[in-house]
Amino acid sequence: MKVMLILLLIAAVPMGTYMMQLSDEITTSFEGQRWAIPARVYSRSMELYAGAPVSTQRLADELNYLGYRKVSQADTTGTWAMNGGRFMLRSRPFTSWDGAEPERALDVRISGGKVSSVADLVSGKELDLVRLEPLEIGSIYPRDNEDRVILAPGDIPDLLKKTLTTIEDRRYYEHFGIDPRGITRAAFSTLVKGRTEGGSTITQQLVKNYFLTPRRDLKRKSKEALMAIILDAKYDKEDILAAYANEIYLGQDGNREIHGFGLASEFFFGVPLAELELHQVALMVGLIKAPSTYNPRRNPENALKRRNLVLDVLAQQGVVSEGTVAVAKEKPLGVVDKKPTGQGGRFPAFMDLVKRQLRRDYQPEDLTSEGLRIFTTFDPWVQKTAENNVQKRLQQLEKQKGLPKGKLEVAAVITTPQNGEILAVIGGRRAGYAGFNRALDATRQIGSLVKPAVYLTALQYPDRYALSTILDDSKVVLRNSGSKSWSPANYDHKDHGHVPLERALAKSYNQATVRLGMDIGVDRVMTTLHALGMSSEPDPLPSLLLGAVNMTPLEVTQLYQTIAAGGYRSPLRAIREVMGPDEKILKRYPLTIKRTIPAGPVYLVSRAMQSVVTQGTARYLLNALPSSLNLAGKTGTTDNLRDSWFAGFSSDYVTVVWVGRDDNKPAGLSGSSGALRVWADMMKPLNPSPLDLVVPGTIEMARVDPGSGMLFNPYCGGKGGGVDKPFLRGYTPYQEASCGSDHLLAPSRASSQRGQPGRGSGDDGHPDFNGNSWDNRRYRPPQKRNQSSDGLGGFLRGIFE
Amino acid sequence: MKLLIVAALLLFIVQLAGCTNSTPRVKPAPVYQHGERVGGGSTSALEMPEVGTEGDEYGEEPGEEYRVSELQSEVPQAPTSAPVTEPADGPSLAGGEQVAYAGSSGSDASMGKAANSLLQKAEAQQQAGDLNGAASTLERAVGIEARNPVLWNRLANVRLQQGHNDLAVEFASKSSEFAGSDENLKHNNSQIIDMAKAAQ
Repeated sequence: MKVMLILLLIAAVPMGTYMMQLSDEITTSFEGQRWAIPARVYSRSMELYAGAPVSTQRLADELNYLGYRKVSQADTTGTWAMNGGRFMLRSRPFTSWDGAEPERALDVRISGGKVSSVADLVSGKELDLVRLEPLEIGSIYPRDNEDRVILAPGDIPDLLKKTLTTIEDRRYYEHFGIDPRGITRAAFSTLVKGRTEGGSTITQQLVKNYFLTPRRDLKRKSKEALMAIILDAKYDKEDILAAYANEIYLGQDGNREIHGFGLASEFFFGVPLAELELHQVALMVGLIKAPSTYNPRRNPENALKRRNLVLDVLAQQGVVSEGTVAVAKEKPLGVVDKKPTGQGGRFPAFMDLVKRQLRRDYQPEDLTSEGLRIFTTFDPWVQKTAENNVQKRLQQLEKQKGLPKGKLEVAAVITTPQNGEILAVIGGRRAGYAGFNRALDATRQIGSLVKPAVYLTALQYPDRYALSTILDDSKVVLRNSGSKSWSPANYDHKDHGHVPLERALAKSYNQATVRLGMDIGVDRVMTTLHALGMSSEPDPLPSLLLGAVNMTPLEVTQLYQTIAAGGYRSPLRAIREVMGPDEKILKRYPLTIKRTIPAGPVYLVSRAMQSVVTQGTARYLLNALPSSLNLAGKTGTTDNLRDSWFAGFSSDYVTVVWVGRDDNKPAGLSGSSGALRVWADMMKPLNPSPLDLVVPGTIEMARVDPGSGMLFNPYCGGKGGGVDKPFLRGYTPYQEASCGSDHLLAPSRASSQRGQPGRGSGDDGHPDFNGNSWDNRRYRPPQKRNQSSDGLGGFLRGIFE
Repeated sequence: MKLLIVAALLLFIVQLAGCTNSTPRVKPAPVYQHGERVGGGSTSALEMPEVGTEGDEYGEEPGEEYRVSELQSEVPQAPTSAPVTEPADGPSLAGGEQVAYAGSSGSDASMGKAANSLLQKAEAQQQAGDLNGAASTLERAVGIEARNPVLWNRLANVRLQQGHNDLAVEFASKSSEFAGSDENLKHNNSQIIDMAKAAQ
């Protein structure tokens, strides 16, 4: 006995040292940041106010995305009821980048596709503005694939705590980390009954999962027990239970591991943990034993049995009444459809964009471990609505054109015009599939989508060009030394003679456009493209004038945003704010604008783009959507019908659609027959607001003779009257049309005053008088052009021969 | 065996007593500072339009990435009797850094309650010195009424106060374009533009 005691004392020294080591180990990892907390990415918040463009369908969809339950009476958080156009809902509290939004009982009335009033459901008081919480659209989790939402001890509902301890560790609140009784029972059952039974306490399970490698041997088992004792001695039971609830593995989503009850609740039921009902809590706790075997999506029968077993135990132990359990057992599993897997979540194309922007500003490990909350501009309803309509239209187009099934691909970007916020991104035909993101990565020729830039350039020279200016659409041949001659034809292989500039754009005439662009200069068109937002530096070749330049749909969207915003470019944004775990804003991505093109010419080209819809290549829209929308846009088609584009805008959306094939083979679709149809399908359900162009102060109206582009002559008669056209102030035509002549180029008042007495030169901002603006090589007296409609051809020959 | 466990537990208790003030793991050094641009994340293959960023300290002027339009400088806009972006005559500067709010009595645009409530909030934030917060709130209001000239005017005002003069000029110009016949507002915008240009 004495010897034993001495031996023990000798052994006690290294034992004590070992335990001190263990204690340090526990302290180190338990008191620091326990887990890498993945960044979570959120959509925009839906804003509800009188006048908000929210239809009943839209609000109902939004509530469904957010996992609100539809009930007959909305009296618990996260529920809603509907009666005609009246929504009664109990919103969830949340903290956003600009403060906390409390839980509210709301009475939202909608009529005619708009919110008519928002009031407090209880007091009836009108509310100016309320927001719903943003939708979580993805997380950025670390390489070990562990994803979790961290819960504080106070976040864990009592029911979950009771269920957990009842099922996993009944004596949790009594034992000291290990439960000798449990171990004895387990040992007995293993030895006598020959079946393995877990004797581990919740504390031991936590130690096993959190601190140790998954090896099962005696050494590890003893270490686990020692650590459990230390953990229990040092920390509060509630804190340990919360750590367990955050650590526990509950399911698999592709590569992503679902850890903790916070995330599992969202993953399986689509609602926050606080809103779970008894049967759902029982299901989740039942999962702990074997997340794969009891996976409610893959093995619903197993899951149901296990859930009901858990419920029975709860009743036996008196945690809940027999009656409550009986009701809960009748309920279905209540699991929501599984969202598509992978890092991108449900909206991989948009998430891809968000991640690329984040990667420029953050280190990867910051994104996956610091618990950042990222608020984006994403609108899930716009995205879903757009997605829903794409697939059907593509199938129809394939059938109609006899194309092989499944070959057509699509990309689209939808933004707001005035602040450049990206609302939706479609990266391909399969919604929710994280493959090649065509919206960001498919660089394709843009074809006639470049034409507004050509015309916009020309319209910045108001002495030469106005909407009514007559252009020559006859065959054009360009020769350059050392290369073959180039003679681009019109889409219909016809010459259209003399056409007003506005119609040349509306009808997308190639010959007139090339002549116009060559007169202005390709380099100037390049400058315009850069001002609009083009980032690349293509060679300034004449073929650029017809869109021989590669861009991604996203880049094209930037160009059209600048036009839609009246010449103010706003760098397109997907992210608004990044918030740290302490709810402090770490970074804002503010709205910036810059006027890069003067307002007048942008207004004129926008008017011409409205003509594309009313009388040009996008007339389809007049029937597909209400003509009162006054939409503006441009079709684009590339050689051999490889790419089909449409870019257009209303007052609230700028949308660009590309349709084509990944293998770059002809898709058999023009911009009108392909992308335009998809565009219309996408935009129609969004119920866009009419485009009401702001008329800049630099614009004045004049009545012109459409045939000649000259001032309308009321005395000619029999010619069908004149049309009112906008001009840059001071540059309306000065000459009245002579009766019977309709093919003269219209000189404008300003150019006719060239050199006239009383008119200053060189400093009045007039391009022709400004020696720096118009190089002499290209300078050609306007009089000459007036003499002959072939003047442009002669000018081109002058350059190329 | 029992004795061994008891001894171990005893030692453990002794050890615990000695370790209660063992230093917890020092949290990793703060990775972000408010508004700081952290590290050089991998550049994406995408030629994305540069996104303006801001924080408390503006390391870079928002909008500096823009190219200057050659055409704009080469070819000034057509002369106009009622210039839109240029003040009609040089208004006298109000002095000080902040331009008084323009009254919007004559504005064509009536503001809805939602945007107005955000405008009030932004004004309170601005007065409390939370200029970034005020700008964010105004941006949210612009999301509701994108063409309301008063909101753009207030954005210009906040940016001017922050010393983001380029941006103040742009916002004020944009406000005037939406302002219709609201001469009061246009005049205020002109003042902002003048002050911003003077400060540049």
